[in-house]
Amino acid sequence: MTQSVDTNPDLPKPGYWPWYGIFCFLFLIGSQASGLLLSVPDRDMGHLQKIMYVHVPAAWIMSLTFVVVLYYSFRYLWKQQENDDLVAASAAEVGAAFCGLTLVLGMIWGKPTWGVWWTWDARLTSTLVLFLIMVSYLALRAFIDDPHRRAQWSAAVGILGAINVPIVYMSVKWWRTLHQVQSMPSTVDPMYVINLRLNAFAFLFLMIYFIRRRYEAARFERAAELAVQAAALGRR
Amino acid sequence: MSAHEDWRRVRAIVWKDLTTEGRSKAGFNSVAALGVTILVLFGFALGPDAQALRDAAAGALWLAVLFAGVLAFNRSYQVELESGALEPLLLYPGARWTIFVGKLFANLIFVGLMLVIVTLVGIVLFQVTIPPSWPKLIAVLALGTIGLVSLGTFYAAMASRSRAREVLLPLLLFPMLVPVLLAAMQASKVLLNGDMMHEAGAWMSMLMAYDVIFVVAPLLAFEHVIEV
Amino acid sequence: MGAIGSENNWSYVTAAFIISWCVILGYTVHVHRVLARARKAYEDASASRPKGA
Repeated sequence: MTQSVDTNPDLPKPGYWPWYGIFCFLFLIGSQASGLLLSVPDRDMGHLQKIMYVHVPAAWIMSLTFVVVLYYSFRYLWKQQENDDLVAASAAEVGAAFCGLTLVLGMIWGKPTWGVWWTWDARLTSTLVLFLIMVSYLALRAFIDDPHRRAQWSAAVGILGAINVPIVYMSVKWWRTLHQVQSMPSTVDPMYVINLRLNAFAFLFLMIYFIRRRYEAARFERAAELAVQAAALGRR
Repeated sequence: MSAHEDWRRVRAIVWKDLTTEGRSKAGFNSVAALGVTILVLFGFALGPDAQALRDAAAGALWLAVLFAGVLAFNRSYQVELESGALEPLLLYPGARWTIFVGKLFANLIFVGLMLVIVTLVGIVLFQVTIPPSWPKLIAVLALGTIGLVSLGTFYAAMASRSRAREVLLPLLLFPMLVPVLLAAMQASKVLLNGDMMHEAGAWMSMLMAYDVIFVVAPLLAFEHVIEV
Repeated sequence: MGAIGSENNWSYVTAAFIISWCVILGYTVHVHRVLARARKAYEDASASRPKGA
């Protein structure tokens, strides 16, 4: 008798998640179209402001994934449930993707606004450091084979990294105090706020979908490892 | 009684690590030589202009200490791992945090001595004029070293026991040390230029806050890291 | 401060949206591929178990 995937009660099932994924993408298409077509050009920034409809949600979602990593790392150390560690890892991977996107979009916005691709502005620089911390978290996971050890260590690294984020921001801000003033849209159009919220929700839904499916994959990877181990032990 | 016992353990670990280093001075000598070499290379990169050298002195010094320090942190566990001494050390009864504190002190002394050598060479090579507020400068060096060594000792406990430890430790450590580097570099730079705006105090309090947070947090997390 | 030349700004806006979609679609493909591979690995591993026992 072969044990089918669907008969194992412990493993997560796709359920309605594929449908949720389709909904996410339809919602995203709708809110992006609304942002691109229905918004009026900003008085100061012109059409350039539309970049905010992807840049700002990406930045918000990226910060949110960091909170998820912090929460599940603590929960893992507290309850020692392997699944919490896998959620933290999935969130970190999604966060790294959104963090990279935030950086690139920030550069695209910076070039026409400030005339340079990169300035050592507090937010930009601390986002870059945050990206490096996330990459090192993922690198640590890639280099450790023992699952218990990997979970313990990456939880510690995740928590320390999250503690460090506000300190990094503070230090870079002080470092740049005399040089740069944050430029932000002076007048806020109500349509701008609506579109921003719409796109933020689209990214939030997408984040939940990504983390959930990545977590599902991580569970199956672990289950496969365990099954291989069991098979190897059974043969002896 | 128990606190007394714990401190006795800490002292024993410090003593053990320093004795190992003291017996073969090759480790310390090569790490210090690497620090000096990095300083010399920075001198080449920044050119022979005296003012440019003076301005960059603080940054070059800290980067040299950082790169050389990474080797020291990995060494402090590697010696034990190679001789299979870490497991027996963990089996001794008593709190695990004493291992961390012991290694922290041993590394502080190791990196501190290296820092003295690299700083003296840096003062000569980069033509630094010592300002009248030099005690503050020493305090900045000490505070920066504590932050660097605490996180370095903590991350080396993981990196040295993983595959690819050479790349993993700097990858984990350097982004975390951004505040220390910025604060220590800026404070040293400001102090070397006479501290007209009284900015050094703010940077020093940031260093102090960072040190408190990142000595306590690794201390609490060390138990989870060392047991597996 | 007047509007920055609003005509050539469209290229930056287009680039930003194209990159966003590339990252989002790229990550979607990545997740689904990892998921399919993990599922297959699990099925292969659990199918071989009864044979070995």
